[in-house]
Amino acid sequence: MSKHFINPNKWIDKYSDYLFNFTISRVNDREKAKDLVQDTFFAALKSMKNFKGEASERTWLISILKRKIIDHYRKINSIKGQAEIKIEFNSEDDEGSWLETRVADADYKTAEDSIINDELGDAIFNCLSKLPSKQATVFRMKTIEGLETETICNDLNITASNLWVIVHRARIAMAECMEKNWFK
Amino acid sequence: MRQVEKKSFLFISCNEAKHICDKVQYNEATAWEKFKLKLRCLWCHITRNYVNRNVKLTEVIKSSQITCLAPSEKQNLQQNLQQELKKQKQ
Repeated sequence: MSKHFINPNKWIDKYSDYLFNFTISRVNDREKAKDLVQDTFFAALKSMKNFKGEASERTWLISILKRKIIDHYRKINSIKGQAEIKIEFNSEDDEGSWLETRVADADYKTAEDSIINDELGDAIFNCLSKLPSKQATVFRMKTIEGLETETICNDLNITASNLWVIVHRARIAMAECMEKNWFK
Repeated sequence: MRQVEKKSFLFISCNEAKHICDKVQYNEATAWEKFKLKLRCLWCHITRNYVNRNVKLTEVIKSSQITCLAPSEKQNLQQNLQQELKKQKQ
């Protein structure tokens, strides 16, 4: 079995987007998701000595992140529990009605939807990580973040025609990779 | 001396068609460009295949609803991580 190694200097480039996407689909709060990803990296640094190299770096980081997300919900639930008791005590006539407002969820997703989306996200980030760094950056900014051509050109100091050449190459590579890993 | 390629008013090259197709994915192509692309798709199977593949990629990325960190947010994370690494080494 091949051993895996840890390199914290590459964590942000290689895993931050993947971890962030994983988190935001579970906590629905951008700031909180960022904090959780950062906490995960910090916790990983602290427990680096315990890494045996049996799992990949990414799997290991995800397992830490999952614990962080569970902790986050535990905290929320303990605060929410207190709030619910307060409401119950304050309005005896409306007993139970507050439950309805919490149960209704317009963006309700089934567990199956979430699993498919997770796997799809996983496949996309996998393919993205195989692109050369410039192509990955441009593709991410243009396609995932939806930034304007002009903004990207200014940020990366490239011309518009240069950007379209990079986008074109990235799209070909992404389509090929997704065909192998997702559409097959 | 390099000769400048004459551009046709209506008929475009395969490379130009691919470029327009890329722009279409980001809603940056004009109506006229889209028309020229459709015209080429009628007889060029290479362009047609490229368009199908490209559209499929756009759809799959849209349906995934993935998000990622902005470059400034990544930079922030990187700085914080480096500081934490330094602390650990001390």
